[in-house]
Amino acid sequence: MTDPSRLGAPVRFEGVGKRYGRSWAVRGFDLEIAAGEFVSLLGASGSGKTTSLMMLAGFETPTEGRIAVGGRTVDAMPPAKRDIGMVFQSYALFPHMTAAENVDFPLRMRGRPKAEREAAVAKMLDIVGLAHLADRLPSQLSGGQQQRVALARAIVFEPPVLLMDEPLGALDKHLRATLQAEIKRIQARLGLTVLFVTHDQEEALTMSDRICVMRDGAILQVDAPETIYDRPADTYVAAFFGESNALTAVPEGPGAVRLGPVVAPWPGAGPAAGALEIAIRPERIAIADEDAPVPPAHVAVFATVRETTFVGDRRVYLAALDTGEAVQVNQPLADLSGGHRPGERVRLHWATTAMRGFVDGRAA
Amino acid sequence: MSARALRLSAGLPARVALGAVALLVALFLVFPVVIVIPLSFSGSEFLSFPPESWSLRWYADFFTTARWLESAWLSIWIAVVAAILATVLGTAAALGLARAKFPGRAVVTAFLLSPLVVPAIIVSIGVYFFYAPLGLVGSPIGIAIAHATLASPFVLVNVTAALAGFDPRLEQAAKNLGASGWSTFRLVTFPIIKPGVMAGAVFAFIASFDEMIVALFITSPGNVTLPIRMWESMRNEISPAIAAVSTLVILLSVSLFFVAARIQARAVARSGGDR
Repeated sequence: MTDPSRLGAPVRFEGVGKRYGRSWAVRGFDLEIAAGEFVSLLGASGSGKTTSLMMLAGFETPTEGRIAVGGRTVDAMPPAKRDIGMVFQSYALFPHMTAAENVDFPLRMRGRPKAEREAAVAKMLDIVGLAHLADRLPSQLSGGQQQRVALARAIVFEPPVLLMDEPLGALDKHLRATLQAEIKRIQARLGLTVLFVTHDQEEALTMSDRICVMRDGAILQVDAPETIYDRPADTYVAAFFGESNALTAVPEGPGAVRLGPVVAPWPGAGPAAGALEIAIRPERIAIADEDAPVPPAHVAVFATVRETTFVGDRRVYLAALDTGEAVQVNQPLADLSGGHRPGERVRLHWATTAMRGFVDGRAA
Repeated sequence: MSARALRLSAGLPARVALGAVALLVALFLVFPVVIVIPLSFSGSEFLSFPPESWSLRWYADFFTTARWLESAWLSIWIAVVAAILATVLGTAAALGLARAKFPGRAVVTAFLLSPLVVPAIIVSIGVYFFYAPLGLVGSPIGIAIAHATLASPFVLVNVTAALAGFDPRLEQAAKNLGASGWSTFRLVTFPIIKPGVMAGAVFAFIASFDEMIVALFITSPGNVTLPIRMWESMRNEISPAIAAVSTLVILLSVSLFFVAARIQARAVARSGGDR
C-alpha cells in the first residue's frame, strides 16, 4: 500500500477447510491473492465457493487452516471488525433506509463526522450514477440500481478487500454486461482486491485477473483466464470453459500418438500404455476441401460433414471422422461464400500445438 | 382462485343464502358487544332495553366517581407495565427461537406458548401460592408481572411471524458493514420487525387490560382493577354505569386495534409491499 489511492490488500488462504457434520464443504483451500487483484471463484453450486467467501467475510469459521488479510490473521476477528466490503447475492439492502442511508450506514458505524459522511455518500452515489435517486427506498429502485447501491455501500468505507457473491445473477444479460464493465472500471480505479464468486464462466473470463476453478470443495486450477481456457488442468475445467472436442489417441512410439489413421507428433511424454484423450477447441480446427493443401505442422484427417449451422459470425459444422468419432468445427466467417454441405467429404486440420492431452482426466 | 371459482359456479340464490348466513354469524358475534352501546346512553336509573330516555349521565358518573377512575388508571398502569414486560420478553424469546438451533426447540416454544392453553383458574391458583410468600399478593406490580406472563405469547406469536419474513442476510450485511450486535438490532432488525412487535404490544396491553381471573386472586381492596370493579358493580347495583364503562373499554380496544393495523399498513407501504 505504498500508493495511498490504491486501497487493495493481499489476501491469503492457507490450508483452509470447513466441515459440516461429517462432510467437508471446503478442504485444502490454498489461495494467494495479490493486492489489487481481481480473482473469481468459479464452480457449480455446492463446489464450496460461497463457503470460502463466507469464511473470509467472517460468517463461517474455518474448521482448519488460516486466513490472512494484509498479512494479518483474521480468523479470530468478528465480521464487523474485518473491514471487508461485501456485495450479497440478493444485495441485502436495508429496506427501511433510502439509497443514501444505505450507503451511509458503514460510515455511520465507523463514527465518521457528519460532513465527511455526506460528502463521501454523495461522491460514491455519483460514481455509481445514482446521485439523482439518493432518496429512493430500495423497493423503488430497479434490480440494476439496487445492485449499484449495494456496490456503493460495500466500497464507500474504502475497504482493502471487496467480496462479491454472484452479484449479477439476478439481472438480465444486457444489464450484466454493463455492470461487469462498470465493476471492472471502479475496481481498477480504486485498486481494490476483489474476490468474486460466480458460476458463469464467461463472466469469470471477462472480469478476472485470475480464475480459481472449484469442484467438490477443492481447487482444480488457479490461473489467468487465457491459461485456463488454453491449458485447462483437467477435462472438467476444459468442459467448463467453452466447447471442446474429445478424441481418443494411443501412443505410437516416443513423441508421437496415433489418432485413427493418422500419426501426430506429440511433444509430451504421454502414457506408457493405454489411451490418451486429446481435446481440441472447435475454433482451432480448420475445415477445407478434400484435396486442399495442409499447412506445415498441422495434423490433417478426412471427415464427412453431417450437419452445418449458420450462427451469424461463424458456421458450426458437425463432422464424422472415419473412426466414427464426431467433431465440431467452428468456422469464423469473413464473408458468406464457400461452405460445405452435409454429406461432403472434407479435410479437417489443426496445428499440433492446438491439441491438449489428458490421461485419466488430468492434463498430460 | 378458489373463491373466484366459487363465485363463478354459484348461482344467484346460492350467493344470497351464503350472504344471509354470513350476516347472521356476524350479528351473533357482534350483537352482545354492540348492545351495551345504546344502553350506556340511557337516562333511567336501571338497565332496560330499549332505554326509555337518553342522556350522558352515566358517562358523567364514570368520570366523576373516584372508584371508577382509580380502577381505570390502575388497569391502564398495570396493562402498560405488563405490555412492556411482555414485549421485551416475547421479542427476545422470538429472536432466540428464530436464530438458535438447539435440540428441544419445539418443546421450549410450546412451553412459552402454554399460558394461552393452561386454564386461567389454574394459573391464578399457582400465582397466588407463588406470590403469597413473596408478599406480592395485592400489589399492582404483582398483577402486572402475572399479566406479563399471560400476555407474552401474543408478542411471541406476532414477532415470530414478523421474523419469518425477515431476511437474515440483512443482519450479516449490517455486521459486515461494521455494526455491533446491538447496532444491528437497533438499526436493522428492530425497525423491520417493528410492526410485529407493536402489534404484539397492543395485544399484550388488551390481554392484560381485560384480564380478571388472575387479578381477582391477587387483588386487594385498595387495588381493584377495572374488570373486577365492573364485575362487582354488575353484582351489586346493575346500573347503566356499567354499560357506559363497557362502551369506553370497547372504544379503547377498537382504537388500539386500528393503531396496530395502521402501523402494519405503513410498514407494508414503506417496504414496497414485497416483503
